Amino acid sequence: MRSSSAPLPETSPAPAGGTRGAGREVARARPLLGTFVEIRAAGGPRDRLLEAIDQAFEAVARVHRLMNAHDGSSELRRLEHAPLDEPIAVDPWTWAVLAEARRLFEASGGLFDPAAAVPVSGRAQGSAGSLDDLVLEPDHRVRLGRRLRLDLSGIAKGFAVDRAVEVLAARGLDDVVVNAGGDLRLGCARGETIFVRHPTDSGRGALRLELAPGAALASSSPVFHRRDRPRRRLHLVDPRGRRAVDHGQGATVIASRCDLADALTKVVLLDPLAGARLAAAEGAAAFLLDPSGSVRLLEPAPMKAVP
Amino acid sequence: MTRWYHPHPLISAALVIVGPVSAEAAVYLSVGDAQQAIFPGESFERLEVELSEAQAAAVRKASGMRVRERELHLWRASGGGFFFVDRVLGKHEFITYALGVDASGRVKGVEILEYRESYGHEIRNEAWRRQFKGKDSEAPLTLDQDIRNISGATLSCRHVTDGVKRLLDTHAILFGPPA
Repeated sequence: MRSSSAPLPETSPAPAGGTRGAGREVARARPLLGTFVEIRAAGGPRDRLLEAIDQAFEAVARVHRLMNAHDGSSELRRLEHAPLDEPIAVDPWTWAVLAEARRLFEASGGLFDPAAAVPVSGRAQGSAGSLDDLVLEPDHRVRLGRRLRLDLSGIAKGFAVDRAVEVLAARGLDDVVVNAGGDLRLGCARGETIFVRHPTDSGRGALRLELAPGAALASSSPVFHRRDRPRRRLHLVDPRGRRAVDHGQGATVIASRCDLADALTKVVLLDPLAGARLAAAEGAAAFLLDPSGSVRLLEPAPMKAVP
Repeated sequence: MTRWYHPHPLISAALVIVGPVSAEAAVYLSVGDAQQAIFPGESFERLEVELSEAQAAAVRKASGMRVRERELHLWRASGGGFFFVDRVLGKHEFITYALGVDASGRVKGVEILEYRESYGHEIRNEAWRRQFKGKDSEAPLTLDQDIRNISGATLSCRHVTDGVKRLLDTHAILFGPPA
């Protein structure tokens, strides 16, 4: 427990990057996964840090190539045309993401469903299937029970962040941050201050968190407005009614892995109580941000005593 | 203002905040660092190239994108590749990035050099241009302020991927289509 940490001064600015620990920090960013992926590392000679960050980006790029829902040549999109009811070999990383997605699909009672299809104009598009129609088989093979339009964007970005942190850790680098457009994870030797934007006004802040070393955080808001040019952006489908979610709430989840944090934000947005229960079961903490600016830490409801 | 210490092993403290988040700004690599990151060990020769009206029109036609600046920031790498530095202006973001194109005309690497949310702040053209003059190319880019970790409202990298396409079309018009 870290509840005894020193109090936060309420007016202090965020810590600036630059120098950390023994040496200077190296920061790089590349356009990947539809956003900017930033990797920062300290604690080694500059050349070594640059090379390790290169390798970490390669892991992110691999996830991008395999699981990009918008690129017809990605393995994920090719699965749409694969034969039904027979085992199909996929990349071990694709298999790992699908397996975790399937586990969370079941644990959330179907709320987390990357097969609920992609919203284009507020109405769900594509198949009426669910992840129930995807069976994980041994040796990195999957079996499709029906045609599915899979969108792993609610979990693959977090998975990519986790793989990048692993690559850096394998090279002895733990004073690191990998941040894919706000879905991020810290190396096990670094704590950081994180600002979470207001769910519908990206010019405002809503929450400031001091993350413990090794923590992962993801945020999600289905509707978002720029301060001076309001624009609705919908990206979450409720599998129960197959409608895009358009309430103005935001969810932020802190977990031990970024894929888990990423996926849990979707469950929290769809059903805060179910999301709180699942987050607690997974050792995660979930915050719900309201358009009014209020922030709630979600606690699972107490269990009723069984007579 | 709500503040509480969260009894969770992954969170040291949490604080509800109101009011604006300052503009986000981050500086990543200098021009020289990005050259070595994309073309390790190679040397670079600066090329003074300004697109003619006709060439700019051809790039616009091929890429479908406006050519904001006809003067290019372009280097030839000793291995036969080319290195561009360019910037894109999204709705609020002002992003300087580097593109390496290998000798066969294909993307070798893309690196973000500087990211800045402008929100209408003055874009300092002169400072931006100055860094390309002579020895200044190794100097770090300017940095105003620094809020490093912002979550929520994921930013799209579409303006950069559009910019990369425009530079690849520029490359093809100057040096021929990919082999």
